[in-house]
Parts: sequence; C-alpha cells; structure tokens
Amino acid sequence: MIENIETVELKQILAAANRYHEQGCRFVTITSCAQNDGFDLIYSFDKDLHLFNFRVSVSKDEVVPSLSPVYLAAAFVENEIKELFGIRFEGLAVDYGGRFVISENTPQSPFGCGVILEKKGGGGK
Amino acid sequence: MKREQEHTILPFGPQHPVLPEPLQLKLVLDDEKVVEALPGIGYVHRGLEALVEKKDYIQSVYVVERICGICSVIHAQSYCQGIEDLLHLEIPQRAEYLRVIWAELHRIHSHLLFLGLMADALGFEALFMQAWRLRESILDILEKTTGHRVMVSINCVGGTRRDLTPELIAELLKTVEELEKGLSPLEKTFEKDHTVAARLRGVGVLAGDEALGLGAVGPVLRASGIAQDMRMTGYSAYKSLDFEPVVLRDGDSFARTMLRIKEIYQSAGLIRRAAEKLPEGPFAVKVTGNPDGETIQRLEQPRGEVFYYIKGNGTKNLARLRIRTPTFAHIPALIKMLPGSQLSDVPVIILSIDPCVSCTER
Amino acid sequence: MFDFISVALKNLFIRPATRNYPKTVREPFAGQRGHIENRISACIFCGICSRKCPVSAIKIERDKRTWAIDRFQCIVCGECAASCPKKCLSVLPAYTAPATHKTVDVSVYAQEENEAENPPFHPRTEPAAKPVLRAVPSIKNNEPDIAEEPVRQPARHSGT
Repeated sequence: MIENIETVELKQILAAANRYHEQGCRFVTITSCAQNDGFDLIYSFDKDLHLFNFRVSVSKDEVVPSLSPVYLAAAFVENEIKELFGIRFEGLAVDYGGRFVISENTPQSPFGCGVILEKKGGGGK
Repeated sequence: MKREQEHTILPFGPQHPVLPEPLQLKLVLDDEKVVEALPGIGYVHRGLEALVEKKDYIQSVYVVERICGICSVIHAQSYCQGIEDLLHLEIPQRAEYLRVIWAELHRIHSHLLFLGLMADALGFEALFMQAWRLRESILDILEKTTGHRVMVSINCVGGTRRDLTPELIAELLKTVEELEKGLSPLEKTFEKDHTVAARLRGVGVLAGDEALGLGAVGPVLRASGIAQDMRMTGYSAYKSLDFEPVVLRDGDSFARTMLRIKEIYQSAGLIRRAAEKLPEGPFAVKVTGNPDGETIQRLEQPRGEVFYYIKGNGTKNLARLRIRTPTFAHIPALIKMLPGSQLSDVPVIILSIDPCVSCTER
Repeated sequence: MFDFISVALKNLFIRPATRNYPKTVREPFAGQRGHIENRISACIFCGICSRKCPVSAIKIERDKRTWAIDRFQCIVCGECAASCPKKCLSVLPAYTAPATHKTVDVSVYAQEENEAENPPFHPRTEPAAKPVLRAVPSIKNNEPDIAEEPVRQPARHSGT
C-alpha cells in the first residue's frame, strides 16, 4: 500500500510538479512499470521525511513532458527510463541519446511492454 | 590582442587510480579550472531489476544483496521489509534489533572504507592503511557472526537466518569498543592535520538549498545543514533507540568527511544500545503465500536514502522491483559541485560524495 | 600531525597486521560458510536443493544417481542445506581452494560411505607441503639418483 498517491493526467504533469516544488519538496525518483498496453509512471517527492506521489498512465506512443525545467535531477532518471522502457520524453535538459546505462550490444528497450527476452535461449538478461 | 578562449575536454575515467568503480566524467577545462562536467555511467550495468523477475521472491534476496558489496545488508533489509509488508507479516522484535545491529556494523565498515579512500586520494597512504586495518576487525566480527565477510546473507523474508549468542554479543561489543579507541587518533589527524585541511576545506561547496533542490541525500545533505535521515522515521528498531541525526553546516568536503567520522561513533553507540535492549524470543517466522500489491520502502544506507518500489502480482515472481540508490541521486549534485574547482580537486570532490557505481547502475 | 606520528611509531614496534599468506593460513571461524558437502549415501536425489539454489550450481541426475556441484558458481548461501529433507547437505567452514580453471565436483551414489571411491573433498587448510624429491640410493658413486618427478601434494579432488 502506497500512501499519499494521487492520479494525474499526462497534460498536468508539469503543473503538479510545480505545485510540489513550490511547497519545498525534494525530488526522489520516477518509477516506471510496464502494463499490458502501456506504462505506469509514479513520481515521488519527499517533504520532511514524508513521501508524496502521483501516478500517470501513459500509452506506448505518447510523449511525456520532462520535469527537468523544474527539477534538474529528473533528467537522469528520465534518460534511464527512456532507454530501458522506450518511453519518449521531450524537453530533457541533459540527453544522452540512448547511451546512459545500456551499451550498443544490449537489445533496445529491454523492459518495455511486450518484449520477450527468453527468445534466443535466455539471452538479453 | 584578443585571444580566443580555448577549452580542453579531458576524459576523467572510467579507469582512474582514485575511483573505486568505473565512472566517466567529461571535464571541460579552461587551463586548470573546470568549466563544465558531464558524467557518464553504464560500465557495470547488470540488469538486476530484470533478473529479480525471473527468480522467485525468496531467492531474490541473494540477487538484491549483491547489488553492492558495501551496503549489501541494507539492500537485503529493504527488500525483506518490502516483501513482509506485501505479505502482511509481522516479524519478531528480536529480529528487528538483530537487523539493526548488522546494519550499523555495515555502516561502520563502509565509512571506514570511505576514510581510507579519501586519505588515499590525498596521497596519505599511511592513513589509508590504518583506516582499513580498523575495518578488518569489523569484517572479522561479521564473519564470526554471520559466516561471510562481505555478502553476509543474514536477512531473509521473515527475520534473520542466525541468532547472536551472548558470547558473540560480548565479543562484538568488545570489537566495537576497541575500534572507537583506534579511531580516535585518525579522527584527530583528519581534523587538525595541515595538509588534510588544505586539501579538504572549502573544496566542493554545496549550499543547503542547492543540495535540496538537486535531490541530494544522506551525508551530502546533512553536511550542508539539512537534517534528513531516514532513521528518524523510526523504521525497524530505530524507534526505540533514541536516534538523533548528525548535522554540520559548511557543505564542503571537509564537513562531509568529518560527518562520516562522527557517524561511526554514532553507529557504535546504536549497536551498544541495541545489544542492551535486545529482547528474547524467536528470530524468524515461517513465510507462506505470495506477495501481492505495491509498496515503497525507504531506508538509510551509509551513502544516503535508498528507495525500493516492489510490486507483486500474486505469483512467486515479482512484477516489478525498482531501486533508486543514493549515488544515483548525487550525480546531478556532482554536475553542480565541479565547475569552478581546480583539476586537482576533482578526485577529492568525487570521493566526498562516496560514489558506489555498482549501486547506481544495478 | 603529532597524533599520527604516535600511531606510526607504535606500528614500528608491534607485529604486522598481515599474515604471510599462503604460508600461514588462518584457522576458519566456527560459523563460517566455506563450502557445501553432501553425504551421498543418504541422498535421495529429490532435486529440492537444485530447485532452491539461487544460482543453479547443483545439478542432479536421478537415473544415474549423481549429484554435481559447481564449486565456483556456488555462493554458499546455505539454502540447499536448509531445505534438504534428509539433512545430508552441510555447510563446512573451509573455503574452496583457488584453482586455475573451474571444475564441477560430481558425487555418485554409493551404498555405504566408501572412502576409496568417493573421497571427501579436502580443500587446503594447512600450508602446502614442499615438493619432495624422491632420492634413490645409488649403485655406485654414493650419489643420490633422482629417478622420478617430485612428489606433489594433491591439491583437490578432481571431478569432470
């Protein structure tokens, strides 16, 4: 059970992040989870040791606005999510172009929904 | 005559004598002064978050504790706490206190490792050797109580795998007391030595509000004046151990080093109080069922706050495990601390955040 | 500065913190987890240890009644020993000796503990003996005639 979690639409992500920023919250992380037909992004913020979250549902083709104008730290997490899940972000302050965490030999978007990693005899782990 | 400013781009790493793990920094230099820094990671990515989905949730404790060699028992503790939360399992009080004792022992040996590496970065090899000599006594007591020196495998879902007998507790307390005595001259050296102060004071300053805005955690945040320590929330047995965080104001590398030394003494005190208050009873409960639902756990590792998100779907494999380690949170802080410093201060600044790159990349 | 000089001076006169490994090897501590042993005469080849192993180090063939463990894959966690229904697996304190290539130790079922066929694994816990040259008494000249290769201490029980 996660406490203090609200659901937010894709268009209101930046507005929600600004709201948390004005109240003095520290950015913690973005968690991405593959669902059957898309992804679930959970943004977590901390204020005085209490965690506040908001959840966004994203489909495979939607472009997510980046939080980097508000929180610079978000750019790195978004780079990692971009590479591991294949979600597209726009407005990244620092963009590694797909080479932040994985290398050329790794299959693309290894955690993305619908990707089967067991095909070539367990390769891609 | 106007001379155009020429900048040199210097790749610092990924292999460097001062770095414990591969981490690349592209430094843009103007003569010897750093103008810009861009970190690059990805040299030790193992995809452990995907591996956990292939193994069942009891075997995954061994995967999770192998993410990092230095904070390994706290990774296992976070994972076990999360699974116990999903299974609605109450573990015995004795197990909570035992977990705290082993976690604080790990904190001591991690901070001693950091002190050795910092002394090595300054060129003070003798101090490095002394710090690691003290660390050996902790590794020996870990081996006597759990069976292994580094990857101790002592936490399991439902409690701990072994108990501490009164003889082992007495030996543990004696080791901790001797460590405090042995640490005292090293602390005075770090505090008062002229060369150490010249290399550490005023280097890599991070102001409090800047640190908070960049998402810094743990000792980096506490050395800049902000009192945030996950142990204040009172998870596990910390609620009954009178925990107060250590806070310093200066925000430079010297403050970060001294804070970690003070935390060693604090951990020694916590171990003594936990050993005194250790309740009788069983040290593990039987585990049945499969985890279902989602949970977030935040614990305090030696390097800062670690964030665990666990999602179960009712089967014995987990649906998702997401880990955000403290060093990952310090990468943006590194981008802000490096510009303006000299090239020779770059190793000191990188080491002062205590990087653990295998945690960062999992 | 003077705080550290006192430490440095003390270190000149006390004995070193390191030991002369591999000449002197420390006695293993009592609860140390060094390697896994199977009392093969009691094993029923149920396969539970193989399924519980987090790193798949144990391979069992029921029809051939063999129990094989890859010593260098094993992380000595003790899950196999904890879950064995016959309690024939045990975790012993001595570490696996370093080797130049990885081997798998195979134990074949034998009715009683037959030491000659299935000698128990003896990792090196005492210092390795120096090679001894076998001197053959000479026929003439009173000179020892070194006839054979030096006798070496067997380092480990070899498997496949």
